[in-house]
Amino acid sequence: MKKEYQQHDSKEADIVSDIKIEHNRVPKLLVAVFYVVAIWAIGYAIFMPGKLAVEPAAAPQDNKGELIFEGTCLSCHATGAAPDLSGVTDRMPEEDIKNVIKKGRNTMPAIGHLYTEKEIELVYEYLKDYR
Amino acid sequence: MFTDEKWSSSKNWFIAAVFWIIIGMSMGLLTATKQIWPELLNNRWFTYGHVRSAHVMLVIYAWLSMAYVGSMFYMIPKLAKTKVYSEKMGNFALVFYNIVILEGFFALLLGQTEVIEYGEFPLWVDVQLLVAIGLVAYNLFKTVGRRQEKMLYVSLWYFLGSLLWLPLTWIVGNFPAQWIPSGVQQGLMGWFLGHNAIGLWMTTVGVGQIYYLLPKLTGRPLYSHQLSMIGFWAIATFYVWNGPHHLMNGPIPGWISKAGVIPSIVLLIPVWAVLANFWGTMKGSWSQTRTSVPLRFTVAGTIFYLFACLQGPLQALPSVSSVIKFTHWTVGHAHMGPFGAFSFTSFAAIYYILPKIVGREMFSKRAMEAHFWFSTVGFLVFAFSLWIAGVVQGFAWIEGVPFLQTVLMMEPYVQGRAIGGTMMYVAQFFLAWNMYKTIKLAKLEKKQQAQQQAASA
Repeated sequence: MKKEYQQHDSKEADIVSDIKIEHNRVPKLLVAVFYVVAIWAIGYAIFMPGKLAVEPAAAPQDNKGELIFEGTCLSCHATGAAPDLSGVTDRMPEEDIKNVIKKGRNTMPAIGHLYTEKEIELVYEYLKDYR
Repeated sequence: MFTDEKWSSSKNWFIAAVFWIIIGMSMGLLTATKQIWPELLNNRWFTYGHVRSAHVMLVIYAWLSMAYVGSMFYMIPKLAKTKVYSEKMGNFALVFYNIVILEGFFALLLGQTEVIEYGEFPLWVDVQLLVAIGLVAYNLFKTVGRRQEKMLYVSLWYFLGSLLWLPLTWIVGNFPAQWIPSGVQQGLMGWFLGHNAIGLWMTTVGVGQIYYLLPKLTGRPLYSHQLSMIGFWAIATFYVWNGPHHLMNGPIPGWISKAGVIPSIVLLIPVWAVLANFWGTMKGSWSQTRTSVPLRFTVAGTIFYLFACLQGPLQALPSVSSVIKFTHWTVGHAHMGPFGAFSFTSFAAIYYILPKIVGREMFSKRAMEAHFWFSTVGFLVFAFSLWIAGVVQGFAWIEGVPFLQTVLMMEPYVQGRAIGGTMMYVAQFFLAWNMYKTIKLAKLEKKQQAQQQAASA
């Protein structure tokens, strides 16, 4: 009683493993979706770069002090693990602050070897405005 | 040593699966809780990284895969109108598979990992797992080889395909990466496994389950043979290409990127074809979801499948990816397929198959209802917390809000996720308890029957 599957139009159902299988047509909306997706795919393959176009940052590096401060210092100094640094330049002389950065103090590790003199200077400049 | 009893493989794989969903989700809940209290259980075994990867690997390869194998050990012989080729081998494979999973679990807690998403087990575990999967596949292929039914029903295409695809992706993802030096290539190989474990194992076996369950549960004929064909061949053709979209906007060549984006969107074709077929089959049967919990689990699974597959293709687009990548959103999305869609269909499979094996109804209908509602509501709370969190987080990063501040912003959402997750976790105890009771009572009833027969004889 089994029919060949090519006869999609036949409304008669097949029975496979006691499960009835009908031969309803694919809904028209779905066929439309298939076409839209296929056309989109070809278009995308030809015309799109496949990545997000990113413009290079306008003025690079003019906030390096801030970047180092946020990326490194704040990991402890914003979490309560280490003291708050707002206004620290009023409380400590410049030399001492730079020395703490270079050599560490108490639980704070020495990070001087990670940065140049210039970069430490930039961090200090940023700290002056950090309140 | 191993029993040859009819359907014992299926039953035992299910029991092991449910054991592992409890362990696997405990790890998940611990991960979520650690995001609230980072100090919790902070010892050398249960660090965040160890626990998170253990959760992922256990729920996929222990819970979901074992539940899949359990349902295949019932559905495949039923569809082939024959017995399982060897129940003994099925039970042996189960014991072996569980030993391997245990090894992998402890390896992860000890800190051994391959750092491949969905392939974290170290190499010495990968090899053994491949052998275990091979044993299962051999047994099931032999079963189909002895079939009494000439035609292969749709579910069988999916099951047999998946049993070949899983070892394939497992090999490609785990083994060559050991000898490839550079990071980007390793990343691509890793994501071949990462995405195909979802697409050519979790999805395809799950869809096969639904194709079996829907006509059986509703008593209605399958809607369209042609849609089944489109769905199967389209997923088999396009899914393997999905890996690169995980490295979107990363250091991969533009053409690979496109080769990842396009098939991701083209996946709308098989997904919608399959769903149209499911819902066409459901026509006139929707009201049955009120009373039949297995049917409700199946249908809810199809709905979550739709939403997972609306999110997925969109996420593959470079512009969308640039916002939500690395955020909590991804975690919400990653749970919708494996939990919302295919754990649900596996629950349905257990509730449909177990009574047929043990010969009595599930012990408690109310526990089934509780299982459904806790799972669904819990998942929605969990997922929406993460989706909102992800969007907020993504845009905050683009705005340049300091990172630590964005971490603090996530607090309420992370708590919401943990609450939803707790509900999902609690739900599974209803399943485990209900299964235990059912099996125990069935045994008792059988014994009593035997005694009565002996007395009357």
